[in-house]
Order: sequence, then C-alpha cells, then structure tokens
Amino acid sequence: MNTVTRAILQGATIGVLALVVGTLHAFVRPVNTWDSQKPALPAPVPIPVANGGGQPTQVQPATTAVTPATATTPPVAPHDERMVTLARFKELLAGPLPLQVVDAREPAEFAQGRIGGALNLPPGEFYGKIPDAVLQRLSRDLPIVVYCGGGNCDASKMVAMRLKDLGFSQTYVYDDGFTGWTQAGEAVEK
Amino acid sequence: MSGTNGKACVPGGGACGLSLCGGVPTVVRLVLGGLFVLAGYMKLTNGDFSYASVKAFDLGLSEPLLQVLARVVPWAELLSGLLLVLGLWARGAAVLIMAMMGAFIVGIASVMLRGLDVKCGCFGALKLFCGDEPMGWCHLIRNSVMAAAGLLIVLAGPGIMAVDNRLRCCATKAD
Repeated sequence: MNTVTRAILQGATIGVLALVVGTLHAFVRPVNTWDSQKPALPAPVPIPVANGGGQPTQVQPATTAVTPATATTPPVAPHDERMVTLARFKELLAGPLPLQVVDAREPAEFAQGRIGGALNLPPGEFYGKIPDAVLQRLSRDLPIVVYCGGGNCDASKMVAMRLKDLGFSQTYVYDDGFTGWTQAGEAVEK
Repeated sequence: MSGTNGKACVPGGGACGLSLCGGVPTVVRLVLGGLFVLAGYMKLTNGDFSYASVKAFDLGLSEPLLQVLARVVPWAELLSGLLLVLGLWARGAAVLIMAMMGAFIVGIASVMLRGLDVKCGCFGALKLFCGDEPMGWCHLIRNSVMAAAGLLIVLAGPGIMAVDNRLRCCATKAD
C-alpha cells in the first residue's frame, strides 16, 4: 500500500471516528440554540401601549431605572413567540415601560449607526465570561429586544439565547434587524 | 509489516532530499494542528457558534442534520488537529483537513455567489486572520493556504518529533 493510499484510509478512519463521536455528542447533548429552544412564554397577553401604539416618543436608554411594580406585567406579547416585528418593536419603544435594546453587531458596525439607546453586546463578548455590560447595565425585570444586521444574521439569536440562559427571561429578537430598521426610514443614532 | 516501502528510517518519513525532512513540515504540522485544535475546542465549548456557522451556509439542511454537523465538524477538527500535533497518523489527519478545507471553500464560494452576508464562526468567538469580515476572499485564501499546508504534510511527511516516525522505526527494527 503506497503512502497516499494509506493516508486517505487514515483520514477516512479519523473522519468516521469524528462522525461517530459527533453524532453521539449531538444526541446526548444537543446544541442549545435559540431556534431549538422551546418558547418560554405563556400565551400572548395584551401589551400596555401608550397612546394606542402611535409614534414612538423617546427611546429609553438601557440604563433606565427599574420600577418593580410595573415591571411585573409581561410587557411583550410577541405574535410569533419570541420574535418582534418592526411595528411591535416601535410599540414597545413608545410604551410606558422602559425597553432595553441590545445591538448584537460588531463594535465597528455599531459605531457607524444604531437604534437609539441601544447597548452594544456582540456574541463574542460572552466567550468565557459574563460581559460587564450584562452585569452592570441590563435589568432582568425589564424586557430586552436584541437585533443584529438583519437578514441571515444569527448574532441577535445567539445573544438572546445567552441572555435567557442568564435569567433575562423577557428577551426577544427583532428579526429584521438594523437593515429592516433603516429601510423603514426609522431614525438612526450615531 | 512493511510500513516503510523499503525506505530507510529517516526523520521526515517522506520526500527527503528536498529539504523537507525536518524543520519545515514539523513547523507546518504543529502550526496547522494547533489551529485546528483551537478551532475545534472553540466550537465545542460554544456550541451555538458552531451551529450558527453551519447554519450560516444556508444549505437547506434539516434541524437534526444541522445539530449533528454542528457537533461532527468540531470533533473532526479537534481530532485531526490533535493527531497532527502528535504526529500520529499525520498524513491521514492532513488528508481529512484538506477534505474539510475543500468543503469549506465550496461552501464559502457558494455563500459569495448567493450574495449572503455571513460571518465566519471558524474559530468560535475568536476572529483570527480575517477579523469581522463577512465570508469572502480572505476566508477563501486562508482555507486554501491551510489546504496547501495539509498537502505539504501528505507529500513530505510529518517531519521530526512525530509519533509516526517512532512507530515506523519500531516496525523497521521488527522487520
């Protein structure tokens, strides 16, 4: 058997071993993803919206103080479980409760423009530790809407999943992302 | 066992005479192996990054298959990387890496042709070589370089300080 043939056979053996181990791993411990998570929320409930859901008044900064008495009301009723549309996002921004907005894009993109009041928290921040921004600036008592670039980006879902793992149960994803926001002609903060 | 093809028991175990017996393949093997150990480890410890990486290619795969691939790819990277670092079945590990790089190159080219804006989760949360750029030419070139490094190991052997050399020498002595 020549060297190349032996190398190919060895490579195939390693590949089969990886296939077996990886498949077992996937069955024993599936990847915990936003898409594979079951919805953690009960059935949709009415959202308290100021002025009947008109134009947004002011984006609340992520550091807004928490009022426990009002924060107990489920403020978000996503029409499709944990996702919010642009219209719903704007309703929440205009609503009586402070809304925490998280931008999951990379810092360079964030610096070029963002939804007003958003906190920059890309997925990489979560590697190996809990980001300071999470510990110091986000409240578990208030809803969080996470967005990324829109389209095919998964960063918002990855961040939302990490936040939910950390006990931020009222975490939602604005799926159209920053692209959807700007295409709708909404204001951008720079 | 005739595992030497009649050649002498030399450190490189491969195409000697081209200055490839010692240092170059060894350095390439260790660097390439280290990178793949890192890539596999980062993906295994951040399963959602791995899942997102596979899903980002938007190949229309079912959820169970995505889950399996998100586990198999990191294990393949980790195993091949470890074997390369050890110099055990180094040529086989290099062949597997070449196959993976080939598949990734096709996938990245497909992403580019479809105009998808996809971020690479190649090294988990780490952004090595290509930064935060969406998948594109940088990733194609990087993967091509790693495939070429694999080809060098297949042709030249694992270099020095490799378990393969020890096994081959033992087999030679046994003969």
